[in-house]
Amino acid sequence: MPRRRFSTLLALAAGLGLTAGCRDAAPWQAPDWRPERPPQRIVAASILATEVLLEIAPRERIVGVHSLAADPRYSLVVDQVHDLPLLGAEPEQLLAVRPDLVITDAFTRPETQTLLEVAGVPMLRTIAPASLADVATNIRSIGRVCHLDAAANELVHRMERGMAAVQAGADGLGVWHVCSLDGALHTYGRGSLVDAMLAGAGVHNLAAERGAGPFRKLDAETVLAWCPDAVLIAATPGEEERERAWLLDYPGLRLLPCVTRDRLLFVPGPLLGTTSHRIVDAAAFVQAALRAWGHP
Amino acid sequence: MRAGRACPWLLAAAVCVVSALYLVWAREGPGVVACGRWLLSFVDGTAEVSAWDRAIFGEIRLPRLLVALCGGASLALAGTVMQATFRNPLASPDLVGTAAGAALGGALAIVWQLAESTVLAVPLASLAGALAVTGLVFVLAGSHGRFSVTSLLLAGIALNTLVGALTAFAVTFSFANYTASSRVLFWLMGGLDARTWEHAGITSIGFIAFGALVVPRSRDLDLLTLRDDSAFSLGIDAQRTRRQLVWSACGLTAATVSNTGGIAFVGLVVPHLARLLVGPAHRILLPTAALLGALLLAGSDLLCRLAPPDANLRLGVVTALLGAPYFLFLLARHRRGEAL
Amino acid sequence: MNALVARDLRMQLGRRQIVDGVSMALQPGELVLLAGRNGAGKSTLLRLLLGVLRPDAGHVELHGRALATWPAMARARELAFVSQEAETPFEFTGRELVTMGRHPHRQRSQPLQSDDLAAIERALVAVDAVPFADRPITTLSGGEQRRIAVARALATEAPLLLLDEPTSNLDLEHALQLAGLLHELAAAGRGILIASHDLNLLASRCDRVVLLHAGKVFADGEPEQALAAANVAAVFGVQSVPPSGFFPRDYRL
Repeated sequence: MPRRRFSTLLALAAGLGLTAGCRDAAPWQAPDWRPERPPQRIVAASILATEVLLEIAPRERIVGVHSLAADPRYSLVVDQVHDLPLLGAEPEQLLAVRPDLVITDAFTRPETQTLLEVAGVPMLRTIAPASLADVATNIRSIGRVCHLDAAANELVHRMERGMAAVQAGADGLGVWHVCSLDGALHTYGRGSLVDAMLAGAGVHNLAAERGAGPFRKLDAETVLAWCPDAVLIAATPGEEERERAWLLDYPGLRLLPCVTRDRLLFVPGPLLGTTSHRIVDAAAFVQAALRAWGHP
Repeated sequence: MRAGRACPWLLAAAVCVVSALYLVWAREGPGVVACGRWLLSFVDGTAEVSAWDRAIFGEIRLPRLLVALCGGASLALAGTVMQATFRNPLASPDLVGTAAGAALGGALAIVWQLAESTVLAVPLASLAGALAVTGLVFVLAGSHGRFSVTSLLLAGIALNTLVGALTAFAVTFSFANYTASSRVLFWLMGGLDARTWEHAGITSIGFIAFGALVVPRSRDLDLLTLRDDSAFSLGIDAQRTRRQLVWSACGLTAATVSNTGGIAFVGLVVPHLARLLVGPAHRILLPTAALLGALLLAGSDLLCRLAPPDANLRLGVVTALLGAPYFLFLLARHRRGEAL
Repeated sequence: MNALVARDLRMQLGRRQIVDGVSMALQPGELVLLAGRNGAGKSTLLRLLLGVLRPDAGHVELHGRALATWPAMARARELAFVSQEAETPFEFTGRELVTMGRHPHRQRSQPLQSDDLAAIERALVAVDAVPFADRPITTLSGGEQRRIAVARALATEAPLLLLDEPTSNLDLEHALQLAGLLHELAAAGRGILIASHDLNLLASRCDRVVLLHAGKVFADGEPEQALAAANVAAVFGVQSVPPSGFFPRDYRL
């Protein structure tokens, strides 16, 4: 009997797999897809898309943005979206504004994507960026699907020029070895956008130097062993003291020279977490703070 | 199958070895030489040891090791006591809501921002939660001081469910702050990172106080594995003794999980291993289980610390990975018709 | 002198009167069979006499003193008990279980003395359990487990012994052996009360039978008299059972 039950299950699974495989790939899933006509009702279903579209697209073509874009804990464009419809994570809300293009990101739920596919709404999915080049790719993809290539290219060039300028002003900052931490001792290492931002600012990312991957949880001992010159902490403005308290809870961390000299660099959360061209602002912010402190 | 009287001594030796390794072995940071200097400084006041090394050994590794040893031993003792008093080899220390209450207390302390003010906030809140929920289970289950396993289990299941729901509710509030949310999650998963002397103090005091209540009663525990009327006929008040011992087990559990988060699983699996080694007689089973628990937790935590760093391995994950196969082994034994 | 006396015991469980005004006594040196149908109240009466259940009304005296006022350990040295069901889910050896019978004689954390060891050995020999005494109880047959349970009660060296269905699960040879052993123990001065519905095997060996019916004592006296055909017919609803059982009184293996 169990054998038969097992084969039934197997058949069921195979059937499901076939159905999934048989569904025709939508044309917009091709890497260089561009709609025939410029989309006029665009939904920016991620913070990245919102930050970029507000920069390159005429406002009347944006019919909705992700609700997190209005949340000061995550978004840099809070004051620019107050008159736009805010759409939550529910796919239904996306459809309600009758979009002809939805821009999602790597974190969008597969259910949402399936629903958009079924409803025949074209969709662009940006990649999770790990470098400045990835950010440029995302901006250009958004420009391509919106028929706004020129504006997108201009934004990319502005970002690259801005980063070059930040980098040019970095001399003397190469002595800093910094490390990003949060209250649970997570750090961003090699292959993360924070690493790219720190490289742009002309300072060393200690986590990458010590071989950490994009995201690692440290323990207090490791932080002591690394002994960073400064610690970057993402903080919602107004919650800096809370984050400091979290960090100093860890045994031994009060001994760190960067703690005794108060070199805890609180970066606004949305700035440290941005995946758009605003990464230049983050680099400039870090650079300015470190320059004000002078020497490690 | 039974290894006999040498077993506790062998285990004690293994605990010493693992403890020594625990202190000196790390992926990064000071090792044997610095540890030697630090230890020497206790005997010889003139020996030089940097504040740095003192912090790493004295403030980070030693308290963490103490929590691991006392916590592992406490959970193992608690599990052994629960299995004997409930006369069920599958009883675990979190049956009567202790661990669930501790989880809720700690989660609330984090969400309500008490945890930023003092290190003690989470353990104290969670201790309070553990005792409150355990007490409530006893009140709900108890009819006039009678100890009924079934009502205790029912009340435990009811409150475990309720408190679990409240904890999930509290966790959703933590999402307002990224740090708070990851802290809550790590707290629920359980782990020994960043344990301080406050944590070590509570865990070891709990271990010593409640351990001292449990260990001398090994013969009572033997008798409690009999049916109530047989135990009564041999001169112990089964109801009262069961109640006292379950409270002690809850004390051991609370003192540990309020400092480690959710790793109560250790308390289910270790007594089994210990019985496999020395048999069910508690005079030798209790020390064996305690040593084995200490060894398992310290060893697992050492594994966490030495694992590839990007693996972000958590203690609860390691203990579960070690424990689950053992229960599959028990299942195989059970299907062959052997006792658990 | 009566060692164990029950006076007008009453016990209600739910709405059912399980024990309904039972008075009886057990003296040293006598082997008493507490007989009756399933549900007649034998087990409950036994637990009232043991003291683990408190009667709703009436009282039990042990050596002239109310049972409830006895210190637990002292009582355990006077009154031993063998339960009907399997006892422990853990793999204790038979010897470990019999050792538990010495609990009332030992201070807390006192190691076993030579008289403890001697009592354990005597008990194991008496029930013929020495060959399997060191095997885990879970690997023993039902009958072997029962003999270990009896040995544990013997190890207490209590002068009074209460047994609940001691011959269930036993094959004929061991049942007879146990009956013989209980007979010898009674002859040597112990007072033994057996709750059982196994009239055939036990009635021929006991000194007295207490016939329980619907929570009341239906008859109390010599086996031939208590188990007279009329009584048996009334209590058990069967017409004819030889009053002395199928086995003659002097039956020996």
